[in-house]
Amino acid sequence: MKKEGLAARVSGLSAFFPVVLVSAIFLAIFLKALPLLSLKSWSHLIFSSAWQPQKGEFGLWPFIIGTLSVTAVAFLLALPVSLFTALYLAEYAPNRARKMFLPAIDLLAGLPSVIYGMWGMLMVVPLVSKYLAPLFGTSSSGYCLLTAGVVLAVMIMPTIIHVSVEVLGSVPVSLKEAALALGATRFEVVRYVILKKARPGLLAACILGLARAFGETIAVLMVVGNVPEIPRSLFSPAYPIPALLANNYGEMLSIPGYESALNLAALILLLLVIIFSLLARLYLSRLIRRSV
Amino acid sequence: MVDHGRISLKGVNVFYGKNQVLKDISLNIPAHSITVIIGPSGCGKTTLLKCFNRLLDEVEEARVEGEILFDGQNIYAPEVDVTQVRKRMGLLSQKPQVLPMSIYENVAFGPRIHGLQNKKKIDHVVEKYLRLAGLWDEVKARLSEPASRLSIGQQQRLCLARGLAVEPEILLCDEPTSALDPQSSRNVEAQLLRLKENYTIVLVTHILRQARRLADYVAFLYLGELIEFGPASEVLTSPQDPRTRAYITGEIS
Ligand SMILES: Nc1ncnc2c1ncn2[C@@H]1O[C@H](COP(=O)(O)OP(=O)(O)O)[C@@H](O)[C@H]1O
Ligand SMILES: [Mg+2]
Repeated sequence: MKKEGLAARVSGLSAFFPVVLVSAIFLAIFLKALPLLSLKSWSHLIFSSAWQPQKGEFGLWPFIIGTLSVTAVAFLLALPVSLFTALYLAEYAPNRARKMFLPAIDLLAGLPSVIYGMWGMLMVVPLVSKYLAPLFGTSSSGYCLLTAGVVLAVMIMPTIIHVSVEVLGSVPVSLKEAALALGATRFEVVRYVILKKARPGLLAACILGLARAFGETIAVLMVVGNVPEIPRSLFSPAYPIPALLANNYGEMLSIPGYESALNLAALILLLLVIIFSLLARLYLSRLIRRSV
Repeated sequence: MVDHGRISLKGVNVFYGKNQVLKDISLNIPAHSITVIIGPSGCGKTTLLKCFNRLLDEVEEARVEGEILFDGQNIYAPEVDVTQVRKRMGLLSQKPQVLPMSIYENVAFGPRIHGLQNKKKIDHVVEKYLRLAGLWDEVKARLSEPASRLSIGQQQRLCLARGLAVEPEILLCDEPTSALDPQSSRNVEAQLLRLKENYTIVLVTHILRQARRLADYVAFLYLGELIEFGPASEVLTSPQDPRTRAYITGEIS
């Protein structure tokens, strides 16, 4: 009796633990960011593009845009490829192909991100600088938004594909049979029945992929160029917040306000991720509610 | 000579991988009547139904041998368009499977994919077949609601209406009342009895009393073999084969 009460209390506490931890991290970062916020306004720090720490200019706008654009490019590249791959695997490929492909995909999902970064430097960077940029009439070092987007897309695809295949696989066979029995073609069944039934789950798969894309650091910073400017095209370098933090945190902290600025950047990254996942969750729950 | 059976099976064998589940089935299914397939669970009833509308094509490890003639044409002939075969046969499955769309769209789905576009005509079709399935009065005020909000019994009649809307000649029913309450079961049974004037109905059931209520003809399937086939009055009251007798008296199930 007493033991059970203790167990319940312990597990209650441990459920509480993540919340406490996140709050603590949030608070620590916020406190560190506070000194800068008392010197300059929020809006100036967020919307100014001037990043000159030596002169006391800490405009974070290029990093915010860098984060959003790398994530967006990666997502736009990964989404169609992943969904078509998942559809093919779940609906068209023979069972044997599926059984071979999925473990291979899981292997890819588990590779350390530095490996993806190296792959990007070895293969994607030269491809972009030597072939793609000239094709579009510009020049590029290859360390740019597009390269980072490609590398990041490849990194998040395994997650999206695997979850999507499982979501599609959970559509009841008898539902597909019901539609086929009406004389629908395979394609019509996929298009009008399976995709509709699976939509909330597929969206969840995308959210998982996107969540990973937002925070991915090492592979991106290896190929994105790390220039604190707002990228003008896909072939320009960018500088997302995770890369800014990983490159600079703990160094040059003698510059007044610098550490505070980096903490503010971290805070903004956290807020971006939280706002985004809240919106996604809201949309998802509406979708599910409408489909029942 | 008139081919009396709308569907005739000639030496049909079905394998799942190496496992043979239907063995040399030959059978003529008479038109405009209800043919009930009975037999213990796992004897191959569902598989037999899936041969008729070639749903077994979708099962990767399944292989079908033999001929199934539909109005004299072998539906497994290479030149046959599967979707056309399926369009001519409605399917009512064990658990109602409504499509993830509105009540209206569920019925309109078949006619739409087969090319009907005129809104007025679709409206007309939807009403006609919801009436035919005995569901119209219950749903006419809520046609745009998701079909999943209907009760299970209503869903099954919606599936019936949806199947009828592609204007099939044959209805294949796989234990269509097994998920329903007694009241809804009676309702579906009543619709089937009404429909047999214009449709050829093949019904799988494991409920003997249901077979007695509905069957004009009965086929008894056991371990993948067709043991006995004939008019319901003969098979259900004075079966020839000892295995049929054992099943009907409840000794095997
Ligand atoms: N997709 C499948 N793969 C392998 N075996 C199957 C498959 N579907 C059914 N079977 C087997 O075929 C036999 C007949 O199944 P089924 O036609 O569903 O029987 P019933 O409908 O009479 O219960 C059973 O032994 C079942 O295990
Ligand atoms: Mg069955």
